[in-house]
Amino acid sequence: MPPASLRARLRRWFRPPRHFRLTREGRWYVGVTLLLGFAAVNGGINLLFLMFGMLLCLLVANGVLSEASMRGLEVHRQLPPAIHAGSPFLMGISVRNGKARIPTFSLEVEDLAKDGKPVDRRCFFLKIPAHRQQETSYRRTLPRRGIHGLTGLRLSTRFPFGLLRRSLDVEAPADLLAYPALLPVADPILAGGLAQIGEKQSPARARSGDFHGLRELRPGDDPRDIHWRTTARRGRPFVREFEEETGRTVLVVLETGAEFPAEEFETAVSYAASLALALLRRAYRVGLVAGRSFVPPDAGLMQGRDILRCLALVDGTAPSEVGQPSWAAAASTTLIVTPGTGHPRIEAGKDKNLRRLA
Amino acid sequence: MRFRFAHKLGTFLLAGTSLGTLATSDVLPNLTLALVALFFPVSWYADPETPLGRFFERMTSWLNVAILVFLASAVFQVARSFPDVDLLPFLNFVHFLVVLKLCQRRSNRDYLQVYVLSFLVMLAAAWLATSVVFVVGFVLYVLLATWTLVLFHLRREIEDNYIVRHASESHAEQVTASRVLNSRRVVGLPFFAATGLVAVLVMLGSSLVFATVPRVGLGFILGGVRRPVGIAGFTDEVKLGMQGTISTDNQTVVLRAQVPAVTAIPDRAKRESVIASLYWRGTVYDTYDKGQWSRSREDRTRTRIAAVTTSRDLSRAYLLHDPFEIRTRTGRRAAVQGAIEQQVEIVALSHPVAFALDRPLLFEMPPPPTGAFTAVDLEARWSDEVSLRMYRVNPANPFERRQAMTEFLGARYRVFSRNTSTSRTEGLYLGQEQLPAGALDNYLRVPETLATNVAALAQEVTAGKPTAAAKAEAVVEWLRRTHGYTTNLKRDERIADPLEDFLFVQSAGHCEYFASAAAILLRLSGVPTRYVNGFLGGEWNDMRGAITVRENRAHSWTEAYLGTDGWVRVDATPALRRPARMGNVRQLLDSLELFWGRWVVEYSASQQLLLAQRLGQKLGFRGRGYLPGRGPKPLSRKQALVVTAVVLLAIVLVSQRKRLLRWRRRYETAAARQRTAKPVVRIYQTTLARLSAAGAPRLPSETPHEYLARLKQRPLQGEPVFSDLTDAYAGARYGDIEVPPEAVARLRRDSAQIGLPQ
Repeated sequence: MPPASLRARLRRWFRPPRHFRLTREGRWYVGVTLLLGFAAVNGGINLLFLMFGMLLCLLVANGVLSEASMRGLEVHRQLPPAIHAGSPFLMGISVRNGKARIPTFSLEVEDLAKDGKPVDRRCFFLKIPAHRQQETSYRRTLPRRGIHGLTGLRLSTRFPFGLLRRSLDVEAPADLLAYPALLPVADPILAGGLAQIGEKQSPARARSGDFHGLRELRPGDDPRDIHWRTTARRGRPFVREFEEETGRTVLVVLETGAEFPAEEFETAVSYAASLALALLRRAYRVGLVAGRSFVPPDAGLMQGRDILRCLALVDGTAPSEVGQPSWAAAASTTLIVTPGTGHPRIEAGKDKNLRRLA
Repeated sequence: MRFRFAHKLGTFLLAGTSLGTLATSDVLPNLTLALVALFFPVSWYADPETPLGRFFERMTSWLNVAILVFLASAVFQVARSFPDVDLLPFLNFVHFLVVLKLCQRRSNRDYLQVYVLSFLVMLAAAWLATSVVFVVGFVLYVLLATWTLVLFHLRREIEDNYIVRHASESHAEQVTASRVLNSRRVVGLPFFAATGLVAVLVMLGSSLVFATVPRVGLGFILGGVRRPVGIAGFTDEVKLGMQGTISTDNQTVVLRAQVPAVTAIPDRAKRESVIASLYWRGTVYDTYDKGQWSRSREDRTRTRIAAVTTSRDLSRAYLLHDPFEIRTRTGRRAAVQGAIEQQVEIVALSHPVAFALDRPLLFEMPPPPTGAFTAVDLEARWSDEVSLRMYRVNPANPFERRQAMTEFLGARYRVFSRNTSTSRTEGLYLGQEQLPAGALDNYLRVPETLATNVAALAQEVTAGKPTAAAKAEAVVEWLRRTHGYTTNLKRDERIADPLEDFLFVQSAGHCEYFASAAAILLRLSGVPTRYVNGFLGGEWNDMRGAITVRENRAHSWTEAYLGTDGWVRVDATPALRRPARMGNVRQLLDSLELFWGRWVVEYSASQQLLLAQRLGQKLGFRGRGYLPGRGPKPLSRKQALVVTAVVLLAIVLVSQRKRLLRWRRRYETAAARQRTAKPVVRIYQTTLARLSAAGAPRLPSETPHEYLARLKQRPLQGEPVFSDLTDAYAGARYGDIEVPPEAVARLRRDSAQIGLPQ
């Protein structure tokens, strides 16, 4: 067995994943208790010993009750379906109290980041009765795209007197994939890009095609596709789905390279994502080339997710693959997004016939 | 119960309990108590949203000024009381703050301040408490503190997390702090029952801490004094009419005594009659001037005491000698042998008076408690009087006195007093004329300012009485005939000396006047006298077989030197009839007070050792003081090792029971899985183990097919076989699809090919 592993196991054996530390009030309390103990010993006043004993026992009761309160808990994290950098999202936390009789009071749950420190937001449960489950969520914003790892959850409580904060770390590793931030895409750019494939675009065209069916609303769906009658009947939002139109394929190309400053590149990534989603909403088949990554053109929600995932992980310093004929042939037109100062440069066209849109 | 109401109620009850507990210590002035009683209920209606609450909010600035003025005044008063610091102004200030904070409670900080102030009040009550009533307040305080602190914490958490989301059923619902605070679902009867149980455990724990923390009595800073109860009449000077007014309402216990001779009396009426006639001798005075008795403090009248250390329990015995007594060893021994024994306990008293039944012969002071830094010893005074004195001692040698202390906290000792029914004093004293000239001058001195008609009255009353005893009888008879007994004293201020006023103007007085009048009239007729303060009678407590003497039994009498009979008690006060037996309730309270005093207030290291010894004996341990030949045999070394090992093993098993159970469950689950696993599953798991050992483990998040896809991206030997195996495994594991035996046999055979190239 490797020494590190042995050390880790030994540490886990001797130091269970429970911690407690005194709160500010607790530090004062302990100070007063010691002072009172000294006064009792110094003065030999027996009734002060009684008061001293009371303070000591309340401190012990604090520890025992907080331990009892935190036993038998099951905690689960409910990841949001999509997270965009810079946009707030709700992280669901559910806690089940498996104890037979004792409710859990005043419980805080925090996500632990990769460095083992809790994130800046937390969930609070005032009371979880025995054999009950409660769910709540905290609102958080991830500042940048990419993978944000979570190692676990920290359950902590200051119940019952607020003198000690007892916490318990639960292993629950998860990777949050933050998609690029979405930016508004100017209509002229979109219209100009689509004109390259010989179509005059209108908003209605995005929802054109044969009616395919109904499904529940997902993030990114155009609210204009909501089928209000079904939504009212089912109590949940439903949208119409259309058969995709063939022959309208757009390839979004994101130029990468070490020469682009990071901030400009991030804007370009966001713009590429926004452009791709806008096209998908208009029922186009959209593909993506970003660095060495290639997402073949396709339509629908899952395609949008694939493109976002690819853009979330794209490395800005990788050499660009622009100019590779293998993917250029797959598209009827190409939108090339190049990082630039202020606003990325957008070019549209087919093969070498590119026209700058922005 | 609504959460907000429960918290408010708990806060008020907590504050009220602490204030009430302190009020029982009788140290607060009536004005403070009245103001608190007035404003405390008012503060209940001063919620922030009420007009009264808004009024207090508007007055915040003025009230802050009032706080500063009050604080400055308290500091000034305390500073002025130096060196005898009187902290009463601070207590008044704390009471003011408690009520003010209750009126101004708006935020959690205000509530927290109320709790801190209540704790300070409770500390003061603990410091000043002399009564068992404190324990009732303490129990209530612990219970309410547990409830209230939990509620306060929850309230603070609710307000800190102002908006919370509850989604217990399906959809998230935003609720505000106000709505939660008004909810009835947060706390209920089970909550109060559970926290009440916690409070009971806290109380038990407090008692355990109280009993076990060593009483080492360091006395670094404060000296460790308790506030004693001051009783008038036992100071260095006693002024007629100014103190010692006897009130039947004054129930303060001064001393408790166990007298075996009284306990042995079977007949209740006879016993009560005997108790009613017990004279508890305290202080003695020989000088009278302008209505005031004092001591002349001359060496020739100083009491002689001889100290003897007894080997029995290292207590120290003191034999008393009257300076006028003929000192014969046999006479004194004979007197002590037939003496009345008493176990006296002086309850916290400001004056160190060594009370004993009239006339004490021998005091036996117990050794100081183990580890104590103070001890009480006997000190000689004058006119056959002794007093108690507290000393700082060396804990290593309790008999090494280091420094006399001015404080006195009460004491417990044994006394032997002369039994007048069996011991005669005849022959123990010389006649007055046989004593050296001037030996009794102190007891014959009469102030020159006394009017001549007092001397004339004395001559008139004792005319024709040849002996001192006859004169004493005549004076007593005259006083009882001409004066009645009253505690409602009248005084003619035109007459300077209150004694003259009593003799010639007033027709009634109390014992101080009768005793003073008898003493002065006898002196004027040539009989030496001295004035004695003490107590008369007591109340019998059946429950513990002891006599309790309260302050309302204070009494004064005269001692006259009647020649060879020596000093004889002359009580001129008309007989009073007072109950000599307590009611049942009072007996119970008195017994509780006694237990409280001995085992709580005066709990010491000696009692700790005693308890430990008793516990050790119960558990079968042999220790010092353990009687040989009794109890179980001690363990041998081998047995002790076995017991220790068993205890350690039990501790490990109990502390690690969850881990052990988890191991066992894991083992059983694995074994069961192995037993019930289908053959293809076992083949797949064996292959996985081999691949893992080769450096390609399956990640916990990977499905079998994702794992297969990942492996396909790198060179893999037997890839088609592993692909078939994965399909078969997924079907068998998740789809419950049976794999034909021949296919299993083929997979088992071919799976050996699967591996990573070296």
